[in-house]
Amino acid sequence: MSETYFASLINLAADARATTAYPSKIDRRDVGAAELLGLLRNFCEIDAVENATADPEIRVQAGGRSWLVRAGQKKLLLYDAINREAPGDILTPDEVMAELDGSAARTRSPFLWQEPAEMSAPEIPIRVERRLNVRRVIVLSLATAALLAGIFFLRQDAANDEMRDTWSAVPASEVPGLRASLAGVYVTGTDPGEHGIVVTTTAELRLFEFRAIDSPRLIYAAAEPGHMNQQLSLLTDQPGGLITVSDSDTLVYCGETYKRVP
Amino acid sequence: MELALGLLVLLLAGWLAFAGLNRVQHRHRCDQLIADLGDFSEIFRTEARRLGPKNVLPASDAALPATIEQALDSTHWRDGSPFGGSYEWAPSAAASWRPAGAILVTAFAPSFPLTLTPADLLYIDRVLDDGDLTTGRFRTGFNGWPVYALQP
Repeated sequence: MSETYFASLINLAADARATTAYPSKIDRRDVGAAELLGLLRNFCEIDAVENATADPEIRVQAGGRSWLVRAGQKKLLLYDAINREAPGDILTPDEVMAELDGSAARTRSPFLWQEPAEMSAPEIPIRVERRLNVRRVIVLSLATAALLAGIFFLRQDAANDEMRDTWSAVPASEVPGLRASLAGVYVTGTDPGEHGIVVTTTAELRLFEFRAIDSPRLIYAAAEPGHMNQQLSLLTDQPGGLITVSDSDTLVYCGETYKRVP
Repeated sequence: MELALGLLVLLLAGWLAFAGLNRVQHRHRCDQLIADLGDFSEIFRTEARRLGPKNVLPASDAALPATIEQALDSTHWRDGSPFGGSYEWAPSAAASWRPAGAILVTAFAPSFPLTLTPADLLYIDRVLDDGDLTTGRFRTGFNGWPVYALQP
């Protein structure tokens, strides 16, 4: 175990047996494994009250990796310094050393283990940072693309409702009188195949088609009175849409003119 | 932040996939209706050619000759349109712009509702005809229902 470590003692005495006044930092280069183990053992035994008030930690760097070591309840908590949000491991000083020198990782996944020495020290954080940046750019691009696509879809749907934009409904107080004045039967003719509209005093319309022998074929529809470009009309819920009231006796619907039956 | 953006992307992607799927399904139904009208039109035209210039096609659905009935059996004629409603034959006398007769889609009881929108009708007209619902072979007739005239 010839590896040496760079250790920073934060708010700790040089031997890690006690805390120091906040904030303090002691950097120690080329700390041997045995010495680091000693520091970790001392840190592990630190007084709980001191530990809680001074918030001490040991930062260790070796082979391009960095760790944070904290103490609690006679155990050590080992964190990855780059990925600080990842949960730490509760370990003994010997187990921490095994993590630092890589022997623990080799035991866990012998086939996946890659010697840290193969990578140059500053390379790892830069790669991680680059990877995070690339991920952020991808996520942001996807979010922007999705938002633009959503807006495009919404605009297309809104275009379908364009007809409603120029429609103004008749005030509710005038509706009953208007319906009463329009109520009646309107037909294009009385031969088979001709069409008719029954306007009632309610919101219901009846559209029908004369037949040669059988009774007329019928469909029920809803209609709302209003003005389309100043022209009095009945807006139906049918594919034909608008029935134009040309005058008190004439309706125009789907290109056909309907005359009121006296 | 990244997690929230990721969730937003997922939600939007899900919504877009749902809307896109609906749109694709809707467009597929329009294409099915277009194919149906083409099939029926061809059957009636073949029959008209067979009958020759002195004969006319039947005056109503009830009087369709056996040859046409038989040919229509292999199509969606009796199933109705993909948007609801039913297919119907209109004789030549009904309107001057369709001298050889026309195929209608109607939705009188009990086969209503017919859920075609003006946008659907325009799409169908652009594929089948001239893109104008008041001119050409494909138009809207009574109640805005589609009418597809046979080629004379």
